[in-house]
Amino acid sequence: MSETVSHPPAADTEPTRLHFVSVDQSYDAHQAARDAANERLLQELNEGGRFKRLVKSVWKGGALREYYQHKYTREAQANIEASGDIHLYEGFDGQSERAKWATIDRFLHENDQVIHQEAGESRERIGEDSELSREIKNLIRRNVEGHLSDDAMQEEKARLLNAYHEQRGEQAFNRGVVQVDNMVEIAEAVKGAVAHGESLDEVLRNMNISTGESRAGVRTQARYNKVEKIADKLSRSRIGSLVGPEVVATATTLAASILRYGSHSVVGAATKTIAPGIAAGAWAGLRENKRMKDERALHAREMAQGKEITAGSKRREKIEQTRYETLAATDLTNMLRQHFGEDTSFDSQDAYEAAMTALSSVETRIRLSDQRDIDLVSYSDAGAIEEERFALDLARAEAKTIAESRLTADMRQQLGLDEHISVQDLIDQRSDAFIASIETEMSQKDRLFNKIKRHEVAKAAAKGALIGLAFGAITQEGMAALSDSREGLIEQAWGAHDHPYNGEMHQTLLHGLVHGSGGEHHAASAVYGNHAFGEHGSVSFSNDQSVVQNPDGSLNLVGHDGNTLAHLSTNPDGTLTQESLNQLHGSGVTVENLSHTVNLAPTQETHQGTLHEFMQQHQGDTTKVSRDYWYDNNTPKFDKNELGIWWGGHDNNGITANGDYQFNIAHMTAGGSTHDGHSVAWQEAARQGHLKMAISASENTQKNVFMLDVNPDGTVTIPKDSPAAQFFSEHGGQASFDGKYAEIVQTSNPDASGVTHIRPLATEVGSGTAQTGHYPITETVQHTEFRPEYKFTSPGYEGPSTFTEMAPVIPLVPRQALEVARRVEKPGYYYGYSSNPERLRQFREQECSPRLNRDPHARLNPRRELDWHRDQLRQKVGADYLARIDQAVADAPELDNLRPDTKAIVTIPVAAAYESDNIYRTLASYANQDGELDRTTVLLHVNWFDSAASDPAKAANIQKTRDEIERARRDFPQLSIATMFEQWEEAKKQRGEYGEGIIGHVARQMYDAAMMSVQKAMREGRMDNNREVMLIRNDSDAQGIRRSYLRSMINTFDAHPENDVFTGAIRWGTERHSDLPGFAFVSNFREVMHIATKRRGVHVWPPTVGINTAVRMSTFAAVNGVGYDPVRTGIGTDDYNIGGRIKDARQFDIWRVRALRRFRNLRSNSGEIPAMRNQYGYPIDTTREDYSYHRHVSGADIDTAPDRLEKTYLAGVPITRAWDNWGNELRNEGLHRGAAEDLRNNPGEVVSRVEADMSAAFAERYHDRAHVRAGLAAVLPTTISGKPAYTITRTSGGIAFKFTPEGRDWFVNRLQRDSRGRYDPIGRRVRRKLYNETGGGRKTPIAPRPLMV
Amino acid sequence: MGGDELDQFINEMLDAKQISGLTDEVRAQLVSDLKQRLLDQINKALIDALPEDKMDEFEQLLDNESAGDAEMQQFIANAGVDVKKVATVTMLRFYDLYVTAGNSTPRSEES
Repeated sequence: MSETVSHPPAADTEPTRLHFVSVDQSYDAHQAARDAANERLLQELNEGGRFKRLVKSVWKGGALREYYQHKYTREAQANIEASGDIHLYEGFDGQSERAKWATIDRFLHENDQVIHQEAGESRERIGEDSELSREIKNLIRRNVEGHLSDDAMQEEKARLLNAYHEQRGEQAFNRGVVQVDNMVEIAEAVKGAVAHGESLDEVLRNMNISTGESRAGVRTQARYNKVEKIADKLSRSRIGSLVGPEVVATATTLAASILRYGSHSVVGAATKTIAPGIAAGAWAGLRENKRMKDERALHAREMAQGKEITAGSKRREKIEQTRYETLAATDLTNMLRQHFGEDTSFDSQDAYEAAMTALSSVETRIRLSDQRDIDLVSYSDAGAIEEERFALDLARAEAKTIAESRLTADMRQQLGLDEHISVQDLIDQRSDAFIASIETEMSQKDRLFNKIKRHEVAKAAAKGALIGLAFGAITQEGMAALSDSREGLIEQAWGAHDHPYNGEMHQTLLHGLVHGSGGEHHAASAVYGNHAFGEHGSVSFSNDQSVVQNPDGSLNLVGHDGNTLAHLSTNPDGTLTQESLNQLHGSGVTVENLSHTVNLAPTQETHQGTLHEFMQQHQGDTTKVSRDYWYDNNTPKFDKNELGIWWGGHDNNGITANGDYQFNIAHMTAGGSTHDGHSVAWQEAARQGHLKMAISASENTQKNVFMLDVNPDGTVTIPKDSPAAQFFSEHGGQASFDGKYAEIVQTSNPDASGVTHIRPLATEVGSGTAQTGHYPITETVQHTEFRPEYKFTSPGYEGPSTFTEMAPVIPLVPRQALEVARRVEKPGYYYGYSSNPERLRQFREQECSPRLNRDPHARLNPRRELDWHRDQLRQKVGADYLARIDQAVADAPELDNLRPDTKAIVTIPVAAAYESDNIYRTLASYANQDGELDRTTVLLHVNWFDSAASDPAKAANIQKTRDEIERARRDFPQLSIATMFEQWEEAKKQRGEYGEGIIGHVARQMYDAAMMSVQKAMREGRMDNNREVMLIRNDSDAQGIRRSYLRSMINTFDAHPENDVFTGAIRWGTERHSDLPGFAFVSNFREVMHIATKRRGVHVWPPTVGINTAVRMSTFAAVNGVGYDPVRTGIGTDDYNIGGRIKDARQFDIWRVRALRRFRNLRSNSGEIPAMRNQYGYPIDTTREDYSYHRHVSGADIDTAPDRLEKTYLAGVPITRAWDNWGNELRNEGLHRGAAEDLRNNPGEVVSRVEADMSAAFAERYHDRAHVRAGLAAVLPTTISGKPAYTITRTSGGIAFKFTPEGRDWFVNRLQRDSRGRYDPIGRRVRRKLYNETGGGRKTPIAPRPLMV
Repeated sequence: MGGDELDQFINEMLDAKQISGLTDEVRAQLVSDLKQRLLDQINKALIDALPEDKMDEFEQLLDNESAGDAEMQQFIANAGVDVKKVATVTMLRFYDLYVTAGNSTPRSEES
């Protein structure tokens, strides 16, 4: 709220000079997006259990960190650009607005020192004749003349600036993605000026137009920002590469030499794995180096943004040691004010020195921060940076001005200063010392940081190398297990079998380390194989070789690897040729020639030979004989027996039936053979075996005869196969003897010489043709065979070629993430709740019912949501808690048997030690309501601390409170009063076990008991499952309640099922208004501002205050009531949380709606609004741009005890800070009851209090200008007799609300008189209207019954 | 710019990644894309390696319309940056990220 929008002076004064400024915040938007991304990433990395964090640290915090960082930055950037709010992720609704105006005000300020050029800020005055200037003024003109609405003007402006940017690029407004300006306010001011008689043309002609670019954030930048910026610029430039071809060639060679992917030796593969492993370690070290720098910068930024280190954040604490010292901007501002305030002077050398030193130290810090992108100044909050920086800038500029004015010639002489030296020179003279001091500190911190960094980098490098190798080896084993062409060590456990890949066996590094490289020399196999060749050849060979016969009969000797070692051919005798032997020798094969000749089995061969040969062959068959004499009967001629040899056989043909030849001597007589006294009887001799037939083949062979037996019957058979048969033949069926002699002889035993002496008895003389005949001669023939035989012994072989693959090195190093810094949440947090999309997402996903989460506008079923809430209580708070709530319901008959037609449950926390004087009155107010008592139950949560119970006075109060409740029960039987009791433990509170306060616990128990009583009634079938019940939250110290309160609330509730939250007006202690008219005004203004949040065009969250708030129970259950955070239990968690949580649930896409507005502005040419969907795919209701879930209920006023506000007001503190000390003191502690303002005699005191209060309210709480306009319009006139009633200006200390003299007179008068000018003080007017109190004054018509009870 | 060597390097990288089923056309495009990314990363690494006091000068040179590749390369070399080392390390890291880290495409390089 700058001076440019204050109401202009009248036409007879100085002409109005307005200043339009448009500030580009694209750079700030990017910084904010980076900060938001970093915060989100850190939050995610710090979420979950130990294992989850470890895994996340490897991926999200390690290998993929940059990816996520960029992704989140892009997302945040898109959201910020869409919303047009650089504080989207940092501040809250109000804060963003304040920061925006702080920026605009800074760029409007005349003093150039507020523009931080060294930090990159710029400001440019646009020439009056420029096209942009003309266009902007034209838009304002059309707006003022009524041709263009505010919204249309904004859209036209957006299109204008967009076109301007597109035309001129960054030369115009940097990137133009986020801009803030004061156009609407300027137009408003122009209207005011015109209304007061100024010429529109004149006002526009006098209007200045500026553009600028801000650096709204803290200063610390990691250096990579610059690198990124240049790299980005490079990528968009015509420059191709920063490396020449020769460098690429060299680098490629170097890289390739490192990246040989494996080796035939394990040692080689291991070496090649270790090299990248070491490289991985080096990279991990490099990465750590960068991260440490990043984290130092991030930490410095966050600390400068007012965040705090969470306890136990070791990494943060270590980095904190290296953070440059920062001084708070507010402290520096205060320091300057102390030295340059109105009550100070340069009247002493010490005072002068102290002041200039202070100024120089501030100047030095600011300039060093800007120049070096570091933070030497800190701020209370990211959203407060612009305000605090601006305040400091103003204080600095004012200090210089004051110094200049104080350093008069006399003063210079007194202080011994050169009369011409400037204040800036005096500051610079001192700056050197500060720079030296700061640089010394920075240097020390840098050294410490480098030391820490070196340690961390070394650790990371070692970890990187080891983990990289380990991960790589394990991964390689995993890959081997899945591959059938790679031998792994682990897969051997289940006997995996692999085959060669490209002719080689591949193995993992671990496999190689255990089993070696393979490829070692194998000795010749001791086992030989055999192969026959040729007719009789054979070769034996070591089994590591083989012999293959070629089609031509030649052989190949094939080695272990399948290669032919020698081609073998043979000589005609089957032996290997010399060439073959040479090849074998050449292949290292040892050849043993084992060729040999073998004797074969003899064979019998028959041919026709001479008698002599025949006889020779049958020598063994013959008997050598000598004829001693012949039994010739001593006669010279053959007679008698000598002729007794006849042919035997059939018919004496000499041939037996078998084909044998046969003689018969049976005709011989017994005594027919004699000689010289010797005789022989053939029969006898035959029987004795001495009678034989001797066959002589010829005369020449008659000494060697074939001896045949003479059978007893006289037959002599010559077997046809016997040699002797050769001398017989058959002719015409008659045997014929071809030999010479066939003699029947008497034999004797052979003599000593082996000769058998024979004595022939008879002789058959044959034809003798046998002498010349041919006879079969059978001979035994001896055979031999040559057998070529060789033995090849291989020289052994090299084992199969094994390729050991180097293990991939996976540089995945788990790394503990930087801890999340804690954002210091101020009471203002509750105002407007969170607009941070990430927090909203978490809230919706984790704390809202699925139905509400899917569709923020869903109409909810009461039973279903109450059941869900009950489950949530059990799961997230615990079964014990739920059991306690159920017991509380069971102990309260009014809840246990809740009436089926119940429409409202009024919940009231009762601090029993302090409300004994209030509770009966409050209950009485409900008991006297006009209707709805039969459908209403009041639930009192009566609680106290054990410390109070042991204090007699407080114990008495506690008892009195309980007694008063019982009294009310007796006196107001028509009022259903349920109670639940709780005693808190002081010791627990002291130990912090109750979190930030008790009220949050009280509220949860009370709300949950109310909801569970309804759920029980539905569960037990006593209440319709679809019945909507209203949960009303009020306080126990009501001074009065509108008689129609319940009726108004319930009627509105029933009439507006589209609303979830209902609030009525709050009156603050109207009985004190007579004594404190100023307080009456400011407290009333507070409530007016509350109601004004519902005015059209106002985008301010309407808070839900515990004094007078109601909520639809189904929706309340669907947001889990006020939540169950065990720590956030302090102020606001009991009441602001009601509307806040529902707003977050119902208006989830509020930032998208803003984005839509902005988008529409930029795309208004087409007029098309793109369909928008939330993250769950549900369409977004783009028509809802207000807090439409909330409805103000008229006729539902509550007059409440004003203690906190009253004592704050009387202390000169703005009532907006009434709850700042909440929890540390009682509401009436320090209140001087009975204090009164003397408006008649001392109106200045009242006016000053009101002005101070309003100023603080505008500076600290009310930032939406439409809201302020609406509120002020309700309580004050804009002008009095054509002159402004008040002014609102920005000062170095904040905002100043001042009545003009005309306004002051009007205001004081109105506090004392009615609108018709009759004396009727404000306090009396109000009391009469609400309570029918006439006070003995004028007769004024009053209502039949007071409105309030 | 060293296209043949880089093509070969990228191709070996793809082989090591054992990506199958790529048509020649797709593979050629992949090589082209990866090569450009690699060059971008080398560029970025070189800028990162620039001494702090040379940054602004380099940026000015970049803004100078008349300055070409040769001037840029000369500036980097004269600024004391070990260009070969930076390029080699970047290539190894690129390889490592692509082949061994299991990503289908290298992530954007941090500076």
